[in-house]
Amino acid sequence: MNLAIDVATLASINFLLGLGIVTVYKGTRILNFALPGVILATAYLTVTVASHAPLVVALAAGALAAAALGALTFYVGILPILGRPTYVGILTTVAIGFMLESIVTIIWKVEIRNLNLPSASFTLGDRLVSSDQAIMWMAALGAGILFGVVYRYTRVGLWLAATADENLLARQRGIPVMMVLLASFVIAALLGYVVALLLGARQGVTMALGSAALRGLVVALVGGLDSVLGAALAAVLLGGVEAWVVQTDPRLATVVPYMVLLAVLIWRPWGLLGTPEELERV
Amino acid sequence: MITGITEPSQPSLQVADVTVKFGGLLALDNVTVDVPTPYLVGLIGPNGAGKTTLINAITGVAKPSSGHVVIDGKDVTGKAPSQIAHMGVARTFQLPQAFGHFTVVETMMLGAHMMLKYPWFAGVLPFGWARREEARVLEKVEEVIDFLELERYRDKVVRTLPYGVQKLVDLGRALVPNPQVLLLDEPSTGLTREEKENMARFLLRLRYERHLAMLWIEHDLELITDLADRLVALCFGQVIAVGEPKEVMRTPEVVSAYVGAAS
Amino acid sequence: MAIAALVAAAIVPFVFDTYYLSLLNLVFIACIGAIGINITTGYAGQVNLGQAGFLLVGEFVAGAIAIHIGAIWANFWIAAPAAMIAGAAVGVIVGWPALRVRGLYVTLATLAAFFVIQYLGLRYIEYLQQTLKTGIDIKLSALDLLFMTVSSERSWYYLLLSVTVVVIVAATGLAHTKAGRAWQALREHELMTEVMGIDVAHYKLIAFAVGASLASLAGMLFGFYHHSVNPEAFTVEVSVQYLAMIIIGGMGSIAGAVLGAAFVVLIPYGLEWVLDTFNAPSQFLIYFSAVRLGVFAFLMLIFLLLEPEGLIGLWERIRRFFVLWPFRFQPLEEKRR
Ligand SMILES: Nc1ncnc2c1ncn2[C@@H]1O[C@H](COP(=O)(O)OP(=O)(O)O)[C@@H](O)[C@H]1O
Ligand SMILES: [Mg+2]
Repeated sequence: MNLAIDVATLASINFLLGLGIVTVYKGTRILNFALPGVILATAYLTVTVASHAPLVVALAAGALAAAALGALTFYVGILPILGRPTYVGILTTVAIGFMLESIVTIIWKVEIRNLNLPSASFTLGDRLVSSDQAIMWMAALGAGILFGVVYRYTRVGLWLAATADENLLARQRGIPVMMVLLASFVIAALLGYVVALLLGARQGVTMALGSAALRGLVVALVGGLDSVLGAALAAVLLGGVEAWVVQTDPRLATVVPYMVLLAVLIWRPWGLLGTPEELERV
Repeated sequence: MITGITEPSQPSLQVADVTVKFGGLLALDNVTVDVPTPYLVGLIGPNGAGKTTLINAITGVAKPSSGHVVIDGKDVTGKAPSQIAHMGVARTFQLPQAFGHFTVVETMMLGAHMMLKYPWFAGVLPFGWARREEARVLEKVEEVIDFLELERYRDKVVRTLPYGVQKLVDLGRALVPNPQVLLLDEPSTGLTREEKENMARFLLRLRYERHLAMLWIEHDLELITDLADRLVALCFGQVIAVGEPKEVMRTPEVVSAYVGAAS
Repeated sequence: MAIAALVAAAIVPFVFDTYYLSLLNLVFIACIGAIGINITTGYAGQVNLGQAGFLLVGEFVAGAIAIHIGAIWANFWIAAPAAMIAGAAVGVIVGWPALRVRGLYVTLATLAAFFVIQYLGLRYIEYLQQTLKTGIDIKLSALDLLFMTVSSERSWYYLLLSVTVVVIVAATGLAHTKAGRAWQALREHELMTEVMGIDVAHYKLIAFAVGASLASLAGMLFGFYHHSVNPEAFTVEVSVQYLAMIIIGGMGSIAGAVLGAAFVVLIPYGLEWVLDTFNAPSQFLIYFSAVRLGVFAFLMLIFLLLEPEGLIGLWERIRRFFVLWPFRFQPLEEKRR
C-alpha cells in the first residue's frame, strides 16, 4: 500500500511534466528545454507574492507569469528561428531555460521557501495521505483524460499533427499555425506550473524543482514523444522504478530514470509507444 | 568520346512493377520503367504524380512494398541509399540548397566522397595518404568544374550564387563520382530561359559524351520532347504512356492528364 | 606567419607573470574540449548537452592511472591515450541512439549520460576512499614527460600549448577532409547525405567518438593541472559553457572554437571586474556562478538569433565591410582564377 501511494504520487508528477513536453512536441517537433527554468521562476514568484497577498492572488500571478514565460519562450526562442535546423531550437530553449534559472538564483538566493497551500489529510489503508497528494493524482488523471480526449476527438489533435508535419500545407488549409504553436507553449508552461505548485507544497520551493522538471523530458522520451498514453505508461514505469530503488539506495534513485532513458533509447529509440519519426524528405 | 546514338545494351536501370505506399496513398502503382545506356529517358507528369518518389524508390530512399529495382543486372531493392550510390547511381535534388554553406569546390569534393579511399582518420595529418588522395580526386573535380563552366564560381559559397548556378553545382556534385545511372529531379525548374538552355546543353553533351543511363524529370514538355530518346508519363502513380516522345505527347491519356491538371 | 606565431608563443611565459599564464593554461584546456564539442555539435549537428560527462571520464581516468599504476611517467604517456580511448568508447555508447533517432533524442541521451557517468564516477571514488584510504578528494601528483617534469605554471604552459597546437592541426585536418565534409553534410540533411554514398550512421558515431575523446583528454589534463579529482567541478553548467564556447565563437569552425574558449574562460574575470567597479548588489558576487551562467545563456541566445556564425562570422563581416567600403557587395567578375 505504501509503495502504491508513493508510486501514484511520483507517477502523477512525472505524467504532468511529461504531458507538458508532449504537448509542445506534438505541435512543433521541438523539445522545450526551457520548461525547468519556467517552473522555477513561477514557483518562486508564487511564494513571494503569497507572503504579501492572499493565496488566490499569488496563484493567479503565478499562472499569469507561467503563461507569459511560455509565450516568451515561443516569441524569443522559436519564432525567429522557424525554418532553421532542429538543433537551433534545442539550443535557444536551453539558453532561455538557463537564463531563467540564473535570474531566479540571483533574486531568490537559492533559499528554500515554503508554499502553504490549504491542506487536509485522510487515511488510505494505514497511511496518512495529504490532500495535495490526492490533488496531484486527480490533476494527473484529469489532465490525462482531458488531453487524451482532446487529441483524439477534436480537431486540435489534427491541427497539431498538421502544423508539425506540413507547416505550409496547414497554413493553406486555414489552420492558425502561429496560434497553435503559441498555445502549445503556453499550455506546457501552465502544466508545469501546476506541478511546481504541488511539488513546492510538498517539499518546499527549492532549486531542486528545476531538476525535477527535467524529469518531464525523460518521461516524454521514454513514453514516446507524441503519445499521451506513452507518457502515462512511462510515468508509472519510472515512478515505480524510482519508488522501489529509493528504498535501497536513495542516490541511485535520482539517476535511475536516466539509466532507464538510455536503455530505452538504445532498445526502442522512439519510446515505448511513440511513432517512429519520419526522416526528412528529399 | 563521341559515341553518337548507339543501340542500347541491356538496360542499366530496370524498375519492375514497383509499388510504393505512404499510408493509404499509392504513390507508385506497379510502375515499370527501363533506362538503357546511353539513353536519355524523360519522365513527365503533373505535380504529385510520383516522379520524385520513383527516383526515391530507385535510390533506396523510399522502400517499395513490391517490385524490384535492378541496376546493371543486380537487384538492389531494399538496399540502403549509400549502398545503391556505391553501385554507380547518382541523383540531383529538386531543391539543391541543403548544402549551400559549402563552396563550389567543397560541394563537389563532398560528391566525390566515395572515390576517396583513405580511412577518415588519415585526415588528421597535414600530409600523406589523405592529402595525396584529396589532390588526386581534386583533379577529377576540376574537370567537372571545367565541363560545367563553373570556374569563375569555384571558390564561392553556393547559397550566394544564382539559382541556375546552384542547380549546375548540384549536377556537378552528382557527376563527380562517374555514375553509370544519373537521375535528374527537375534540373531546369525555376531557371530562366537562358539558364535552362544552358542546362539542357550540358545534359545533352553528357548524353553524347558519357556512357550513361539518364532519367530526367522535366516540366517543360517542349524541351523534353526535343531532347529525350524516350518518354515515360506518370499520373497518380501509374505509367500512362511510354515510348517515342512525340507519340507519347499525342496519347489521349497524356493530353487529358495535363488538361485535367491544369483545370 | 605560423613560425612567427610559434616564436611569439614560446616567449610568452617570459613576458607574462604566473597569474596570466594560469589564465592562458585554462584557455588551452578549454580549447581542447571546445574543439571536441565543436566536432560533435558544430560540425555534425548532434547537440551535446553532456560535455561535462565526457570531461569527467578523462578526470576519472587520470585518477585511476595515478592511483592504480602509480608510476609518475604513466601520468601523461599512459593517461593521455587512455583518456582518449575511454572517452571515445563512452562517446560511441552515448551516440548509439543517434544512429536511429535524430536531434532531440540525442541531446537528452547526452544529458542522461552525464548524470549516469557522474553517479558511477562518484561511486568509484567512494570505493577508492574506502579501500585505499585516499582521503576525501583524490590528490594527483605532477606530470612527468620523462624529459621534463610538469609542475610550474610555465612548464604547464608549454605542455598545454603543444597539446593544443597538435589538437588544432589534427582537427583542422579532419575538418577539411572527407570526415569534415560528411559531418557538415549530415548536419544539414541526413537523407541527402546518405544518397551521396556516405554512411551517415558511421560518421555520426565517429563525430561522437572524436568529440568525446578530446573532451576526455581535456578532463584528464584538467585533473592533473589542479592536482585533484574533483567531480563536483563538472556540473550541467560546465556543459552549457562548452556549448556557449562554440556558439559564441562560431559553430563548425576550429578557429571559432578557439576564440569561443578564450572568450568564455576570460569573460567571468571581466564580469567580476565590472560588478566590482559598479558596486553591484552583494548577491551578484555571492551567486557569481549564477550570474556567469545567465550571461553565457544570454550570449548564446543572442548569437543564435543574430549571428549564427559567431565571432568568426562577425569578424568576417566587419572585415568585408572595410575591405569593400564604400560598396556593399563584391563585384562578381573579380577574383577570377
Ligand atoms: N515521404 C512521404 N511521405 C508521405 N507522402 C509522400 C512522401 N513523399 C511523397 N509523398 C506523396 O506522394 C505523392 C507523390 O509525390 P512526388 O513523388 O513528390 O510527386 P512529384 O511527381 O511531384 O515529384 C504526393 O501526393 C506526395 O504528397
Ligand atoms: Mg517532385
